Amino acid sequence: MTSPLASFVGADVVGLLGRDVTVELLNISRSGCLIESPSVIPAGAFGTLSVEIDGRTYVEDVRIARCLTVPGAGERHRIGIEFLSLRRPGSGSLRLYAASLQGGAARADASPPVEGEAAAGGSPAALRFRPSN
Amino acid sequence: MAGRRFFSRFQSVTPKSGQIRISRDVAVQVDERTSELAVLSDTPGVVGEELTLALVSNASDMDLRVRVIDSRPQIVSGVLRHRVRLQLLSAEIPPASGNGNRKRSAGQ
Repeated sequence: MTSPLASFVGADVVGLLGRDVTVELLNISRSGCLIESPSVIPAGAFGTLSVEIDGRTYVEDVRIARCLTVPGAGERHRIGIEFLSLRRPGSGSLRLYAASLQGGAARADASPPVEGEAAAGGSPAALRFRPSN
Repeated sequence: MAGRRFFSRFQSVTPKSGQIRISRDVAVQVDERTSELAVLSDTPGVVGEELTLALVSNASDMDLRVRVIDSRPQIVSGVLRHRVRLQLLSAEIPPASGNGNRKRSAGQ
């Protein structure tokens, strides 16, 4: 019986330990977002955030900017996240998705929304998000 | 917040579920005789927690699912680190390595 680790014995190995945490996306901008997590994620940590929106998964490399416990909410933590602009955003990029929301809002400002369309612009994405201060 | 934020912020009408994978660089120790796996990390492990471990060497690379068996503080070159022993749950060769995408269970 051969261990799957046999090829790493005695070799120069780089290891990357990853912890997966289920989170909820609360708000988003082109530069970052706010999520809620059941566990503490320390400020300064790096990771990869993936969020499912309308059946599609959007991904971005991120850095944790801050982590604050929600008072009176048990183990709930609000986590401020900064998107890392390390690579050109692909079609599944959260940054690009946020840019589409911003573009939708700008177009809505330029022309009044048609009845039945969302205030942020009327695109399907705008129906799921609204501008926030 | 005026003056601090450069881009508009958008609030989700209903919270969207997602996942964040927090990664940290670790020194990997594979025991020659038992193939037991341990890592030296800046932060302690939580016993029972399931994690992923990507191993990369010049010869090969592999994605592992592991569980923390125990975590003990250890001084390395005068710096406090944590030796985290791991139980191997499954191993997978990533497609990018060009070695296919075989999935193997622990100990095979």
